[in-house]
Amino acid sequence: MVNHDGISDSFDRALARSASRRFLLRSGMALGGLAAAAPLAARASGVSSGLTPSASTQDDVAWAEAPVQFVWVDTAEPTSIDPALVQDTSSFSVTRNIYEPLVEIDPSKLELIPALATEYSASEDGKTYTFKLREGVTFHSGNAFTGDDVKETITRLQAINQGPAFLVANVTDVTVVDPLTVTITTKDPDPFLPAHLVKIGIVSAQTIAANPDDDGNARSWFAENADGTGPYKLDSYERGTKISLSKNESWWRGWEPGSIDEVSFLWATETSTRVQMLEQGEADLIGWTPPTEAQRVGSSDGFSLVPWSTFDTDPAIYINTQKAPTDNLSFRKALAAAFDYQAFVDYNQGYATTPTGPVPPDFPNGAQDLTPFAQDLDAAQQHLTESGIDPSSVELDFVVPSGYASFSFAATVLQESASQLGITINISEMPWAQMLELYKNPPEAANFTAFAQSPFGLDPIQFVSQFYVTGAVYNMAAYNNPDLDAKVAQAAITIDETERASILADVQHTVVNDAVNIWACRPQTLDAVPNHVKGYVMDPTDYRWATKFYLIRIAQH
Amino acid sequence: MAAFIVRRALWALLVIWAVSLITFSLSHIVPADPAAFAAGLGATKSQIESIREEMGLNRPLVVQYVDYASGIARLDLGDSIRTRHSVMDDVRKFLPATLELIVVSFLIYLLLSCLFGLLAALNPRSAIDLLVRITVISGSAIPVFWLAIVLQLVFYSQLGWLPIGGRIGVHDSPPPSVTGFYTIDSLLDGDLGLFKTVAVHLILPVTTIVLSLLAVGTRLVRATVLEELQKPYVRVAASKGLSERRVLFVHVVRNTLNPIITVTSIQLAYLFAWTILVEAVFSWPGIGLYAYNSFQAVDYNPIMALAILLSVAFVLINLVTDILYPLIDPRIKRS
Repeated sequence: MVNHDGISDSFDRALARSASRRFLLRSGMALGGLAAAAPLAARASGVSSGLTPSASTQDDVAWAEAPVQFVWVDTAEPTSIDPALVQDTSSFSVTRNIYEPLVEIDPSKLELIPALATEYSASEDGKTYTFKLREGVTFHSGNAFTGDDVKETITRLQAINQGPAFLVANVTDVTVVDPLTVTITTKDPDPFLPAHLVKIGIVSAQTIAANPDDDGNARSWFAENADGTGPYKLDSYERGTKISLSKNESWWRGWEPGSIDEVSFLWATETSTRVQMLEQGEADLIGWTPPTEAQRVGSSDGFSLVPWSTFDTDPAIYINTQKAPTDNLSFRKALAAAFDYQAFVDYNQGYATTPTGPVPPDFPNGAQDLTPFAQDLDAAQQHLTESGIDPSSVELDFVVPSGYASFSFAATVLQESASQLGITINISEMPWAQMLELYKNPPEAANFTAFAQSPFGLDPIQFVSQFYVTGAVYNMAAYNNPDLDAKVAQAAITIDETERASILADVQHTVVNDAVNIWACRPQTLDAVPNHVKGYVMDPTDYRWATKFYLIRIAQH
Repeated sequence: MAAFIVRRALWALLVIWAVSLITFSLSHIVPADPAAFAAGLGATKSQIESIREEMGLNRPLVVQYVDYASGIARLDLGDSIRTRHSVMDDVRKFLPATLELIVVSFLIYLLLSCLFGLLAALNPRSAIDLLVRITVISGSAIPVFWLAIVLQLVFYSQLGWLPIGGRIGVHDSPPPSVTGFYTIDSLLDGDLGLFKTVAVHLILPVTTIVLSLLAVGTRLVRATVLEELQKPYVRVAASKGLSERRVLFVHVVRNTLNPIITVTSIQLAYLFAWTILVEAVFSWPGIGLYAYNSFQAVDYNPIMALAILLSVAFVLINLVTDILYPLIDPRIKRS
């Protein structure tokens, strides 16, 4: 991966400082739980030993002198800067830099690393986690960080019940044992609780109490203001125009030369505007660049093309299992076999691979024995014959959520592939909010729709359950398999890593065998990065987007 | 006159009520789930329900409408699901940017239309006439978003003369808000540097709007002036020995104003509707961009509020036009 030395370098430096405080796991259970995310034993020992070599790779860079200013031009203004409400990438870009979680993901290694908690342990039954909190951390307001803040953050999140609240739906109690120790208790054993907490930025309990409003959750205050412990504090928020963040000089991780002092967030809906600002040097980085533009700018002078591997299936085609004729398994298999997967690799100009199933093999608990899909028209014809359906007697419909080029292309490819079997597919477009309404009644919905599957965190159960469990909001295939539902529920409370991996592998095989989706492509995300921007890293578990600005260092240019 | 204005105001209220009813019905008839949309990926059904309840979308439609209509009477247009602010706050926040863009564009448009129209009318079938015609027609023949992008490419990317978008520069702070018009507020603050920045940021979006409108105004002025010039009173005035300038500016121009006001006032009202495209391309934080984002999210309250706002704009512009007619043309007053 281009630029990778730079990426690992700054994170490793930050990590090295944290690692020196030792991030320990004290119970075999928790080890099992987290090992699902990545081998933790290796991680704990590898943190310090693996850092030293790369830490020196950029010592010869002449860093920009303070104050270092940085301009980030995103696709849209955040819908909110309240960490209890945010659930979109443009908002994460702001909140992830202001608020910190107890545990964090190192996006370049996909490992859990310490943040506001220095260590944690889990009880034998897997229902109680004890977190030791970092000492001497203060909020931007000057309030000291204690266990009360953890308790109030989770309580507030559950009371508001929006944004990332689903990640703590299982939490029944948060107890402050002493100012620097909290225990979090869950209803069911939850091996992925720490992985969920990665997405929960801690807010100040005192600030919540000091700004009471109608519901006691200080929502009005947090809509316009911020009080976190993170690397950047909110300077100003001019709605519609700009958000300014400035460096938290007393941040507990400390700072490196060339790190950013001031970040300006601007928003440009129009892609060409963002790209031109990047090319002219007015923007240091931009949100979402179309692949062709990223390649063009990335190969020009002063830029590097950075292809990021992601865990996304983009697009996944959802085949309606409750509407004729796609309720017929052999018919679905025929379509999956007929699909031209190579067309999508070409569409992404080679920066893509073909998926093997719903969970990529390099994601925690991804099945290792599934092979990439490939077009096989003979097999497709055989499945079609087995289905007993006369292709000329049916007409199918594909509803594309409007505004997404790759989804529209998926419809076109499927239409073309199916025509080789004599099957007719009609394509139409519909806004996303209308799509969600349409799919409330699956037999009346379309035979196909498409959207992306992107993991939010390192929890494979959440990754699969939102798309395949009966009644889940994004189960657009209307897939109804009680046996699979039971297995997912069982995996969610299975502490033993091997056992859970086996159950989840079974789940993945089942949805592939039932041709619930056509997993069309795993594209890389391409970024054009100016050469003076070092250490930029994209987090593929944050809907492949949010940028942690403290990792970036600016070279003289 | 007072009775006339009262009568028109009552009609305006009726129109606004009708618009509120129609937009409410239309937006709620379209099958969509804005709560699920707002909840985002990963949301559970309980979270979606919680948003639906918070926004009052779980209540019967009639109750929702009564609540909404009584809200309008109190100037409360509900909350936006997307921005999570009250729609009135949002409108107050974003409308001044649009008004500033529209007012500046429209004044320049009127000025240039009259100038080019007169030039062409006084020199019919000359090289000037041809040049004006080609320029203004090609400006309006180009789709507005395309024109905007081309202007950006030339004046920002290639020449580097003008900013690509926004109301102020990346590292500027807005002036203390008095009118919401950055041009006026920066002058009130005595900040000439910022005024210059604001003016420079207006150039490309204003040029886009003016070029798109210019053909209609110029052609209209040209045609009406030419028509007036053929009328007997012009010959009479000339034969009385009045100077050409006096005949033109005192008599002819005044008589051409009514059709021009009629057409341009309609253009002004429509401009509110299509600035959306200009604002999207130039990242202009106005009501158009707000509308664009609200439509994407099927955010009912802002969409309905914007429909009402647009109808208020139409009604007000028509009212002003009706008041202007008799002032310009005494014959209308007498009739």
